[in-house]
Amino acid sequence: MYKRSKLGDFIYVIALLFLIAIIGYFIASWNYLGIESISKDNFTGRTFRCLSTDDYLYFGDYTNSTLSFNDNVYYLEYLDYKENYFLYTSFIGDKERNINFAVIDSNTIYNDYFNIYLYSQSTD
Amino acid sequence: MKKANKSFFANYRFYICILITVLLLSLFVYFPNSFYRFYVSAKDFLISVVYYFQKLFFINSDLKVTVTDLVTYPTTPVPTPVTPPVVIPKTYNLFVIKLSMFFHSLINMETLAKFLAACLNQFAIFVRWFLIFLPLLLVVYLLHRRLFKLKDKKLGSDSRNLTKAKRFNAKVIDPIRYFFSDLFYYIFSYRFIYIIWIVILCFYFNFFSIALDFLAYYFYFIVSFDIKNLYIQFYKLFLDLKPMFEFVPGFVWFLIFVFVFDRMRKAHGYNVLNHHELMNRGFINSLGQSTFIVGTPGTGKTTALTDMSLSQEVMFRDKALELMNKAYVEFPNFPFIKLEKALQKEYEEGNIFNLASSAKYARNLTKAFSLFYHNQNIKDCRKVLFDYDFETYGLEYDDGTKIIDFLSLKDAPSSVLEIYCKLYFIYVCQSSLIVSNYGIRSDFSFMDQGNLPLWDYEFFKTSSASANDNRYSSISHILDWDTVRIGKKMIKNNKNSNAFEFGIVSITEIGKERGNQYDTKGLKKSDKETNQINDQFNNFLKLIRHSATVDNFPFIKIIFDEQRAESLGADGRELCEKVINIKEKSDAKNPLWLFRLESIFFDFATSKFTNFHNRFRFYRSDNILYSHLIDFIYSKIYHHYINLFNTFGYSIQMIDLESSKLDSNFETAKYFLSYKKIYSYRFATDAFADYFYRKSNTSNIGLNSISSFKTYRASLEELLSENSYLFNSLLSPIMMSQQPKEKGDLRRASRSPFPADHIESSERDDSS
Repeated sequence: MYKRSKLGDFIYVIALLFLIAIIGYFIASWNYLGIESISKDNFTGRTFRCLSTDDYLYFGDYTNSTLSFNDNVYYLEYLDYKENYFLYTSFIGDKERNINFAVIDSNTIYNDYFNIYLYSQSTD
Repeated sequence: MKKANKSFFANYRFYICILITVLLLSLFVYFPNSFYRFYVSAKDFLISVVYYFQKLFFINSDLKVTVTDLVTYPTTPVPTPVTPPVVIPKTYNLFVIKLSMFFHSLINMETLAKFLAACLNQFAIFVRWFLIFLPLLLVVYLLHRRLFKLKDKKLGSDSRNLTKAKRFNAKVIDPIRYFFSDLFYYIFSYRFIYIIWIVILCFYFNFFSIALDFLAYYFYFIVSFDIKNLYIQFYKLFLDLKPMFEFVPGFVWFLIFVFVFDRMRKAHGYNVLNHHELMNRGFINSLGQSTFIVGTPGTGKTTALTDMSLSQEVMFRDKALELMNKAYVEFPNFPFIKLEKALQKEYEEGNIFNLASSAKYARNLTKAFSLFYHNQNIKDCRKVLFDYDFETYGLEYDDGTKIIDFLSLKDAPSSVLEIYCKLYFIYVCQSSLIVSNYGIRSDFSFMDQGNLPLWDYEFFKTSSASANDNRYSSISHILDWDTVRIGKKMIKNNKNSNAFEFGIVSITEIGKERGNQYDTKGLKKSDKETNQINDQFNNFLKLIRHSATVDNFPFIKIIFDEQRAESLGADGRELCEKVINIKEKSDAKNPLWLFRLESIFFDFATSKFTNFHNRFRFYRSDNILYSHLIDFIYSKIYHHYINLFNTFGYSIQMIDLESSKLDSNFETAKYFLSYKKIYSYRFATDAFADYFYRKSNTSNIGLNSISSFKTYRASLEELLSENSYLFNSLLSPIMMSQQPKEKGDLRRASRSPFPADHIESSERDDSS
């Protein structure tokens, strides 16, 4: 019959679990970039790196912005703005001032104009 | 498929199908945008086609291609709840950014922490469910322990719960199962029913829109080469598939994943087995006309012999077809199909039954043609050649080395017509091509539409049932040794003597039949009786190639096995180019992905089940619901595992290839034994069992009646009763020196090699 050793079985199962974990970690890492959880605690006084488009606001490695919390209204302030790094500068030009956001759920912020999904949150 | 008995409309299943169709149509509520999406795709397609022709004919216009744009739906979706975006960003630049961010965030404590938190969350869910069911498991465990107590029940009687369960099964489960199987049978009897359902779902899932958009982009791309927009198409694809991913529940995706994975791994498994088969064939081809397999018992000599014979049979038929195609290419205008039909008629009438009669048929046609041609009767010449316009297309072919004749008009030693007749006989031969001294079952399956039959050479995908079905099997011919003797024969005027011309001769245990120089010592050529010296079997091995060669290819293979190479005389052995020495056979292997995981689980389940089953049977003789369920579950696990094991399992034989001169020059090789191929009733490992059955049947006693030693140290009498050469020779002088006192002692002291028999027979005589 199909011969195996217990050590071989153990290594096989561990390797399989490790492989599944690695794949799961990759998928999760990709998804975390789009499903950043937002709450009061996440926002207040923290610095995000962000990049904007006409529909979505992506937080990336290109410039810094600060989000602060104030009575159900989020304010976004851009710091160290460098125009070259933005793909859609016209949008950014409009939104250099504070932007209003209404909280829809823990994952999503919605306002009259666009949705925001936070990508890659990292603190300085 | 057989149609359902009742008429289509009067059948209640029809109304069920109508109901399902209405339910599927009502899914419109979930897919409100699918119609508009289809409309946009159709528009995109038409515009792209127009754009394509405009560019093709250099027509300038302001036509704007729309397939490159994202779809904007007329009714803005309700802002809340906001659906998350698709898994890829909207533009290629953002995709690159996200990819960069992805790799940055891979080695990141925060990401790792989130991942571990998510894992812990899932684990917590599992623990919660486990704790909910824990009391139930404890109850089951306690009940399980209570089972192993002696119960005074009627043998084989069913418990009350089992009786109820069986009744429930008969009255509820079985009718439901029959209902659904009946419904499925009905649905699959009328293909259009499920095609309509598939069409509806494909429409809702935007499959048609995707296909149209693909065509639209294709027509746009081949004249614009707008590669930049390709990413948008991917993005649109994700957007279009999003409704399907959201609608279909997770467990269905899991089932689909399992199904697809299973299909993929089985396809991989079949590829591996086919690859092994091709490697085996390459190995067999590298051997000479005669092959000698040796190896210790248990290494699979006869298994390898059988496997090689089966592969060789396929290769012979394949080769015959290949050479027939060669003839076809050389004379493409000859109506070979008419020749084949004429040959078939001759087979049915019994006029053609071997290669010689095939050649005779071709020669008769040649003679007739020659006669008519001599009389300048061209019309009849054509008729003889099945209306072949030989004047236009010719009867010769230049292959670069010689001129090949279609007919042997100039006393050519062979002709394409004769070769083709022989090849066709080999190809369509309606029985096994194997002649053996033990039974070998070949697959006998071919497709025939009344033209050229095509053999099914598939060893691995055939159903198990075909192994038991005589319609798809052909058993090898009995090897009448007189057919392979060209000297003296055992039976005078044996009708089989000259019957063998081509094929595979498979002989197991040849050494016991032919012997070596020591076994045949004393036998002479001049002996009146047929023996191993005067039957000229070795000359048969040397000459048979001449009868079996068609179109310069020898359709003959002789394979035999024995435990030791020296058991066969040197003359016969050295006709084999190589001696295949099977060193060892590997453990079972399986190419299926994750099969090892299944094997671990199966072994675990088997140990638990065996433990339970044996203990249960030790204590009880009745049937209860609990054991019934465990038997049912385990039988399913067993069936699943054993089918995968047998279908895809294989072993590797490690081979030393040695020169038949046994000069200790070895080459190593591998031979693959697929279980599906070789263990589907191909041969009996106890091929000669009937002899021992008959032999044992002549005995009046069995193992229980054979005397046992009185203690672990044998007595003198016990040693003598072994009828051993050793003890007889050692003990006889001692026994002789003793004064015989009794009748029994006299017999023990004798030099007979069978003292025990004497004693026992005398005792039996006395008692009688």
